[in-house]
Amino acid sequence: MDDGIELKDIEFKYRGKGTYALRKINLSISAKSFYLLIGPSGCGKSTLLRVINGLIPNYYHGNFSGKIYLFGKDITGFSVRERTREGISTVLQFPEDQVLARKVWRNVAFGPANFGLAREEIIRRAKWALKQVDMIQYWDHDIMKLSSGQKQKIILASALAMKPKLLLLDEPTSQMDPVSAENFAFLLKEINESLGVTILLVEHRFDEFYKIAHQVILMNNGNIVKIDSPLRIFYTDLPRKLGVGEPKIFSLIKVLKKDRVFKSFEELEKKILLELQDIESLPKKNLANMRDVNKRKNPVLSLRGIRYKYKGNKDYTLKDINLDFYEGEFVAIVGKNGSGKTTLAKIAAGIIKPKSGVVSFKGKPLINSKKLFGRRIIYCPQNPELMLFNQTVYDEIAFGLKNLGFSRDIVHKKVNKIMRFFGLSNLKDSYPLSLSGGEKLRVAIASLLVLEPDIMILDEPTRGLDWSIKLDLVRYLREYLKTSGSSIVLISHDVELLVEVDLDRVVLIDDGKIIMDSHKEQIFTQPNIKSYGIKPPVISTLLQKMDLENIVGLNEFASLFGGKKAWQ
Amino acid sequence: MAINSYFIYEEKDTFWHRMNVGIKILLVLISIISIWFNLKILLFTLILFTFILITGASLSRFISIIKSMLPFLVIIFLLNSYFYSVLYTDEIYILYPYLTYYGVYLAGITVLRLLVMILVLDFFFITTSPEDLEDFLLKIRLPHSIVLAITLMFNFIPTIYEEISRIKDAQMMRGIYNLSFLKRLKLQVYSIVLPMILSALNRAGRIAEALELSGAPSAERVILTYKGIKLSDVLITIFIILIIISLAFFNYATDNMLILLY
Repeated sequence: MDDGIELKDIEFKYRGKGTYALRKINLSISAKSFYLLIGPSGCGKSTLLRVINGLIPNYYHGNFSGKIYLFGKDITGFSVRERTREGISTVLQFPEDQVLARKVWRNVAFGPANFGLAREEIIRRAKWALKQVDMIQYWDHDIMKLSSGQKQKIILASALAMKPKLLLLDEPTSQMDPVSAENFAFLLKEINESLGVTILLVEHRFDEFYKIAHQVILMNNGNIVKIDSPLRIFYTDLPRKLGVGEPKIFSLIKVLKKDRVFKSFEELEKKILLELQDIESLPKKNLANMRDVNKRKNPVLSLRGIRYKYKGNKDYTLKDINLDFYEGEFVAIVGKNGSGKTTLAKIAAGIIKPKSGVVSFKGKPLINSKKLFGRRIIYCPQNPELMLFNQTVYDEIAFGLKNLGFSRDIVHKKVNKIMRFFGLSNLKDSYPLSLSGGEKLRVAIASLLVLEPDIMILDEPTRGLDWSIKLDLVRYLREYLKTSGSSIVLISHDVELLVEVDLDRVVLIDDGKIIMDSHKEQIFTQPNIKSYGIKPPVISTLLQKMDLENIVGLNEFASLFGGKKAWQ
Repeated sequence: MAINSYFIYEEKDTFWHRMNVGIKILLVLISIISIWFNLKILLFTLILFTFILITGASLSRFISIIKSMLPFLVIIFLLNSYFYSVLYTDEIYILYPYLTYYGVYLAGITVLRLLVMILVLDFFFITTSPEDLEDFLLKIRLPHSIVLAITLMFNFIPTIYEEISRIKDAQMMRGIYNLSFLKRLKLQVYSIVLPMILSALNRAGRIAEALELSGAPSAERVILTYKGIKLSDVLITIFIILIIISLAFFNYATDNMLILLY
């Protein structure tokens, strides 16, 4: 195949930084191919995309050297604008930051309108691009009223309207629910195959993309560690060792200790099933013997007949919700974007008042909820690292305790204890905002948990994080529960993560109603689970063929083979 | 109505939404200048923009603006009543030595002016989409970089409000409500404003990146939809200007007549 883009000896160091973000990168991406770029956070993936689209060195300054060729043409000295004209388009991580006009069609037309095309041509391109992403019916809609998945489709259409030859995407699905992410993956496949657009995609979600990508580029510390087919690269232990994780099916085959590389994914799946058939005594989980999740007494927090409608909305966001949370529980709330999860969490925490219904805390109606904040109930919003503002990690964690009037000695004791617990002791004097993404998240959550609430509600804290960081966080939370007796409610889209956590139960919400409140095995193996925006776990999908569908997590699956937690 | 609903575009298809943006700006300028002339014009603009807001948005929106502004307006009224009364001491007292009739009258006018200004600005922003504003500003040949700065500001107001509320939610959980009012206020400002500035700076960087990748700002920028000046726009503006001039003249004439009579 022809070279689509070729990078020769690329090096880059951001101005004011001590180390190189990219070191001697040599890369050749074939035209019309689909490349998946993976690596741990901060390894240089986004920097590499910036080098290609020209943001480096035109927008981000620093020491740059090397050559870039696009379809054989040297574009090293080209500006961002010139590179866009040459056919490079980019989709960034957060769709909200790329909403440069409120109307859908204006946003799609925004790019072409900057290049002096005729108005008719701009409109024609906008229509074409929206048709490609199957969003033409939203032509005149307000983009801010669409879901995250729909917004990102519009952003993709905006990139397509520039008629790109090379499409760069930087974690475009990080804000999406699993089903939207899967649809987005199919869309990219379609664009790559039918339009012949070369795709270079940075992603943390592999289960949606590993079958689509032709090649995978693995990066670490500013270097390209390996470029190979998904089958080969994920079969090695490299991605896992670097903390980026791997598609579940590869973890599964590793549990089965198969040490050869397969020619196709079909062969791999077939082999797994054959292996399982050979094992006669695979125990089937008996759901009937499981403890009934709803037959407990004295809830910590109780919601009865909760209804809520946002101002200006015709429909209720929450419709007659009845839900209890008990002491020491680890509960997950799942559902697609816009199903009402965040609203439910805010009402449960007393931040917003329901239009009707009662929220009770330990049997008493929650009236002056503000007085309970920090003492009894804690709600941790999305992107909790946004709240960091103190000079040191110690001060950040101590902030809430000081507000609650604890003595200096007690503050010192509690802060040191939680820092040890969350592995933050060595970062005690660091400036919180200079820490890595995972560390910032741990500081933010530690600064709330140090208040020792009776119940803590976390709203999608793991969005867009590396697999190892996510696992670390839930491990910390689980351990914390064991020692504290608090309850934790985790709102998350991340089914693959949830199935690996020792959850007491899962609450499935859709369209403002509770659809199911049960064990994760029962929820995630529902035949119609996809209609609720939840993608069934990879393991259960595969094991369904073996009548073992009640095993949903790899951890559990691995325990059947001698207890080795290969996925970790 | 929450503060975050002020000045946010409401998508509707009313006469005021279809009006040319330039004409709307002219109307806003005339109204804001004219309310300083006399009480009759002030009352006229109050009635006019009450009518416009009810027809351009809704009665409930108008009522909720007044309701949410009420505590703020009451404080301004009380403070102004006191200060004007202190300033004009040779007037009739309502409450000696704090309040005079004249002081209360002047404070009332100040509050009315403020209210009208809020209504006028709210009218402009709820009936003008950032896209219409962009096309108008490009039409009058303002550089694209300036146009972008203005329109993006309006585009991102709801997003910024959302972010502030997220930070506020997080900080509220850290025991701030257990402090005394003043300490709480100080900490709230500090713990919300600082992260908000940092987050706004981060967002500004990401938006600038997105703009750069879209080829903006651009000297070749094409105007996509421009709402031209219609006859009805001109007629309504002339009608409003005529009323304001008549009221100004009527006031001038009655004042002179009173002087002649004396």
